[in-house]
Amino acid sequence: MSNIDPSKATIDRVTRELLEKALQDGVETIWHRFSSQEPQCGFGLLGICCRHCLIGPCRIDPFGEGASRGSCGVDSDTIVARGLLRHVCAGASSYTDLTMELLDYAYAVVEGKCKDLTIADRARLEELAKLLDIDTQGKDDIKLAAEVVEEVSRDMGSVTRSRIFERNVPSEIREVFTGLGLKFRGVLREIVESLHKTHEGVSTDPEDLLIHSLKIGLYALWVSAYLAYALQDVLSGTPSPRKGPMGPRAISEDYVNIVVRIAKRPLLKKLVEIAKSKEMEQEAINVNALGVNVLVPANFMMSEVVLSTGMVELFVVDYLCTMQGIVDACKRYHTKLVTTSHIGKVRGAEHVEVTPENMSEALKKIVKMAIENFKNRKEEKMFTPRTPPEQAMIGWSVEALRSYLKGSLEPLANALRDGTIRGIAIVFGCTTPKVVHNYGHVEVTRGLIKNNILVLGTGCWNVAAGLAGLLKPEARQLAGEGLSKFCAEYNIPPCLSFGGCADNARIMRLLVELSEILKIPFNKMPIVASAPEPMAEEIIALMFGMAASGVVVHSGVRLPILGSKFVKEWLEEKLDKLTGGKLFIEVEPSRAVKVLSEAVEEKRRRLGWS
Amino acid sequence: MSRPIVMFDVSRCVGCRSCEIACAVEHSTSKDLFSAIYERPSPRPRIRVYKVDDLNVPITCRHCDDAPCVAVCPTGAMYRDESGYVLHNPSRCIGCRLCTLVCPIAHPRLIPELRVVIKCDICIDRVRSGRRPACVEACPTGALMFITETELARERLREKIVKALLER
Repeated sequence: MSNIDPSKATIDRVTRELLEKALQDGVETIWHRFSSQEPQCGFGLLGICCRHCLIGPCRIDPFGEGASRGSCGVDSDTIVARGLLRHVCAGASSYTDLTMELLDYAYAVVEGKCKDLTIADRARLEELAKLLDIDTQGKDDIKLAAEVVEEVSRDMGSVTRSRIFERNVPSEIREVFTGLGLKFRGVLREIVESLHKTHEGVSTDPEDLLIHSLKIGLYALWVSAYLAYALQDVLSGTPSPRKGPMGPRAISEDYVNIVVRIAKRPLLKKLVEIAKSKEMEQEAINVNALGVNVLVPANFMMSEVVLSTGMVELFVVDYLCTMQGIVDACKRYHTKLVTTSHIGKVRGAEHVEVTPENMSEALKKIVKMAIENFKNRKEEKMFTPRTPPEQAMIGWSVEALRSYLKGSLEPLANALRDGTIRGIAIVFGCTTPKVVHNYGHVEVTRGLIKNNILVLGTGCWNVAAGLAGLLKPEARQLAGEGLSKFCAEYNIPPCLSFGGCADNARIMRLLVELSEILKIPFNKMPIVASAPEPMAEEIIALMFGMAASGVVVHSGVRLPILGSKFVKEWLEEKLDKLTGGKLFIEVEPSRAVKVLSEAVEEKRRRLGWS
Repeated sequence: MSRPIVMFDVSRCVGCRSCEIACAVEHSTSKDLFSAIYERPSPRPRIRVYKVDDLNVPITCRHCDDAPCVAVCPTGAMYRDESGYVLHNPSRCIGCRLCTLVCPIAHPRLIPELRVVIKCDICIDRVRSGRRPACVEACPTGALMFITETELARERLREKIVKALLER
């Protein structure tokens, strides 16, 4: 195995300790496997390898000497744009499929087949009903929910129009795309149509392919991710922030520990409820533990090394970016990996299918597996990092922020207008061996709050920001004067943790409300976004969705587009003229902060705000 | 003279042309893929992968012991360095292509806009600092090796012995 230097792999001290321990225990990590992939294929990195038909693979010579066209005649611009659209479609599909699995749960609730969930959030249900022109008067929760799920299904599958798209996407953005001659049908038709476009011999116009990447990005963000969070709220309530220990230090020696990567919040909530039940607590006590903990202590890159605590009884996943390598890491310890959805099957894991009908029964079985496995812990493999635990406030929502701001978002809108807060940044996305773990997230976040830009974040960013102490109210000391003052007044952190990747749509709702209060078009708002360490196609889809919505978006990892000057310049320059958005690549976080901060100031100048 | 050169195993070459990319980047000004593709004149690979019947053959300079290119070069641009590698000094090159003519694999090639030939320099700076040539480092399957003929012979023999033992 190649040599991995923990001090160069991650900036986080706990992860460093865990990686050192994992190395001692002979665990092969993603860092090892990535280094054996290097140097990576230049054609692939530049996006100029086309494998979409059986004539290929065709490659363009980036140095201009060999082939300048694929066998069918397309050049690097088409190959890059076509490859991108496939990435975006795959990313959008993941949110869309999550939504459809949530619909299974919602259908089961209204049909009385799911005894474990109820309609937990009437307000969110009514919001969905209003969006779909459903009258809410005099209907009980179940009756209204039945109509809503039916209309949501119809909208997603419609071959003629999507009301959800029409009503969620800000009108000024929609008009830009209508002006380009586009129609907005159900999300399923749109994804299928764009995949069709990327088929051999269909669309070879790079501009058409790019416009469709933007369109599918809009669907991912404003339709599928929106429905995913809204349905999760309906089934398990709107989140509000709670304070607690962040990261692997939450793993306690005295408890049975279940580490999860679960996308469906209703399922996660039920799992916690069962783990904390009197019955399970008693079973835990019977095996000499104090109880059962369900934890989300790790972001993607940490999912193997977190096992080197030797105190994780069970790793439970549905399909939230679960890397295959976890299976081998589990074998070094007593940990068992359990998959719960037919969508995400992992070779070498145990599968317990959780369905709306068997929810509590299946989850109880899983918790019992963990309790049973407690006795298999090996004393000599147990390890508690020396780094003290860090506190974090997680689980913000529009509703929670409104109540922290004393009942209205107006104070935030006013602070934006008068310049106390210069702008708002969405920081989101994964972690990757291509960036020093957490370095991109933390540097970008720190840089932005220092420049008085409020950060709203999701996904793997949560753990990165939390471990760096950025998710607690005291972090305002790291913010610029204006932002710090605002945070002190309302006792909020300068970085608000908004949940999983689908919750980026929740952030969009907040920004829409702010633009309505300020009475300025959405794409003119001083909003920027950054994915400092992206790897998943979902995040590529969201980057396109945000850029299409007029947001200046940063990627800290090179997208496979640099083999086409046309595509790179189109996303940096032409897009600005089209929607006011932009998608740019910058691998050095400090330079990214500079560009993002300048973009905020530029948007303010265009608004005439000082 | 026993010096390591770029040896290859055609049975392992998958034709990905990663060696070509790595070679061009190594001979660019920036030495960074994402900048190198925008450099003018474009950096060019020395190594090339040829399709010969059903085989992929990565060909580069053999750094011959009795190098005809060195013998015929009228200006002394082509020379042998102290460690035995055949190197080329572009400032002396007049682009006459005699080297190309006499090379059995026609390896040195003229770059019209530069008006000089280019050839494999065995990544001499890397090799002097103890690293392997860029093409060898980039090869994902181990088809390219930076070894001496003695080491190659030993490797072949070892493979044969292992194979014979396994067949018994």
